[in-house]
Amino acid sequence: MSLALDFPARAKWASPLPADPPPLTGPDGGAAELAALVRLCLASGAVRDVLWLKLSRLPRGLDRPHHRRLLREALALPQHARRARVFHLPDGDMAVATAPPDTLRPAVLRVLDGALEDGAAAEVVRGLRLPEESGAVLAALEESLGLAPAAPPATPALPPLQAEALAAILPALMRADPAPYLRRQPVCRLWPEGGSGVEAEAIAPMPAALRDRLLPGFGLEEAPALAARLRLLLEQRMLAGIARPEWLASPKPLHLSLSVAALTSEAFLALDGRLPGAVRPMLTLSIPAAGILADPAGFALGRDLALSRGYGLALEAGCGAALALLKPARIRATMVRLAWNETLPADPGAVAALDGMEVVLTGADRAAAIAWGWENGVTLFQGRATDRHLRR
Amino acid sequence: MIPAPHQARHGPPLAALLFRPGPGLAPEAHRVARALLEDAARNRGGRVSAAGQGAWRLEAAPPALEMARRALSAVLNGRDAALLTEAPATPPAAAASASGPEAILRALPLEALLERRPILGFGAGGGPRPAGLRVLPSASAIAAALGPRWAGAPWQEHAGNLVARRALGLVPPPEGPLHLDLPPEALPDLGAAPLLPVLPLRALARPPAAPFGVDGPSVAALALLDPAQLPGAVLHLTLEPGLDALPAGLWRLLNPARVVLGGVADAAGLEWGLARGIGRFTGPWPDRLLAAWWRRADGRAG
Repeated sequence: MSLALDFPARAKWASPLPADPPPLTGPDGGAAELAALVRLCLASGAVRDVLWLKLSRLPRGLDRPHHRRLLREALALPQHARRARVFHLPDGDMAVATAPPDTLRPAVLRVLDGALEDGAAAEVVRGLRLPEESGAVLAALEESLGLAPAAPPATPALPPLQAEALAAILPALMRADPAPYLRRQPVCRLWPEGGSGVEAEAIAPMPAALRDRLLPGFGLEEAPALAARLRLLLEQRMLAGIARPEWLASPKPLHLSLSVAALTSEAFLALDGRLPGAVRPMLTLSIPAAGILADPAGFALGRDLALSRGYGLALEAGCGAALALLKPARIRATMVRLAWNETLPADPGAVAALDGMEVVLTGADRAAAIAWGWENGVTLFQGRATDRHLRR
Repeated sequence: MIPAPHQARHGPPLAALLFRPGPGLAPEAHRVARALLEDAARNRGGRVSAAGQGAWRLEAAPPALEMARRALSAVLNGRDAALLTEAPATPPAAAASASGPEAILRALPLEALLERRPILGFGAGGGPRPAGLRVLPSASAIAAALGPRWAGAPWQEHAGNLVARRALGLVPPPEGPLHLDLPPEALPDLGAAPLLPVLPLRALARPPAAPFGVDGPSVAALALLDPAQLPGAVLHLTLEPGLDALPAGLWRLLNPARVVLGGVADAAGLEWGLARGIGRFTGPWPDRLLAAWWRRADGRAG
């Protein structure tokens, strides 16, 4: 099914369109209706308590039909039924949305009291509040739909890349067409209330793809210095290919992922020399936090060059600790490219450090990333989850 | 596309496809099969070799193998021949030659590639005493061992990481903790080793949960980062001219109690650090003070 995660909006975070709160009651719904409720709560700012009943997690040996009947009876009590909407989810879970105060959760816990041990009750009954926890609700919904990302297959540990193997392919790489090893993704402006548009294209090297082709059987993880060289070469080839006539004829914004060494490389200076001054602001040079920390003096030089020539400068980071240490404004970045990962919602430092910055949430491959972004005022996204917005 | 003629010689193939003709296979089919294998090797990377008794083997990465397998199956369908996919071939370690940094360094004793910096501390009465040991890959020893062919980046850094990993088995000295410089990628191999990993500053882009020390920050780094947010149980700062020009408030933010000041060459450097609340030092001058301490200790013991 198509999960309607083409969401929301919410008054508090920049919704120009007023929206009505969702109705308090209604017929029982499914996953799509629950997603729609999330959207409406985000759009209107209406608060709902969502009680997630993970019936699939009821311990074995319990009389399931019996408990399900008790739960249904608890939900049917008049004081709840008047203010509740019930959603039946594909894996047998149930979600019930009520307006505050949350009287349903204690009632359900009373029903289960004695039947479940304390820890087990927390497994089975989960309380979430909209719109603050939209991301968690959508993540639970994706899990319920079987859309949760499968654990990455255990890749066999490859022996680390050796210097000679890398040295042997470097000469060929100097002249290579980097296109197959560059990831190009649109950077999309997605408004919670539904508008969308492509604002830029992001280009980043994929050293692992190059490794797969030229150095199969070698791991890059344990040879970071060699992996960085592979990446730098791809970046230099990428820079050499930016100023094509077709792009110069109608330049569009590009976000280029670059290491610090690439920022002051011959390839960058050559590109700079070929770009008219008016075109330079179209390029946002995006530098990973780890690279800045590894070579602060090199970064400072490259940054001063880039800013004085009119380029945009972005900081790439993946956690609050990096953003706190390298405050974007302090290092004079004009944008943050924040990499989504599952730990971000539990990382309060990340949001605090974004204050006032233009932010792109990268790696937004799941709807939960977009929901988290919207919860925190981010409207620029890069990743597979933006596809469904752009196709419409 | 990047031509990949070197792959089969330098990178180990992941697997192989074996074409084994039966007695009833026409000679034309032999030729066609071999041509298809060679075509796959030419276009997608890989190497074709004779495998005896008319069989041919293509060693290549899985995507190329899969393409070749499909091409050959289409032609050989119903004919007297077998196509076998073989599991991973030679392990790369065996394929490595003896002239790379890995082999050069492996042939040398670890001790010859490490630099030891005894840490000077001060006892309750203000007297100097040993406060541990910092061990790090010796840049000069590594450069000398590798020679001009592997000079410069990224080879020297790579070699330093190789040496650091070998040092994971070192035992801490009796007089205090062992601070071992390590790349963050080696942390999973640290296990419960009784030492404090000293990480390069880049590791702070995603700081680990377990205790660690930091190699740095340099003056250039201090100009960029927020000193109040700098994590780490120990900061190994190096005495450099710009350090003196830093605002006085910075030392309070850094917390001098966790600083080990390196590169201290004379009494003035030591005094400078002590005046800023720093209590641990490495360098030629601390080495002299520690040597004197050891002489006295030996004298007492004797």
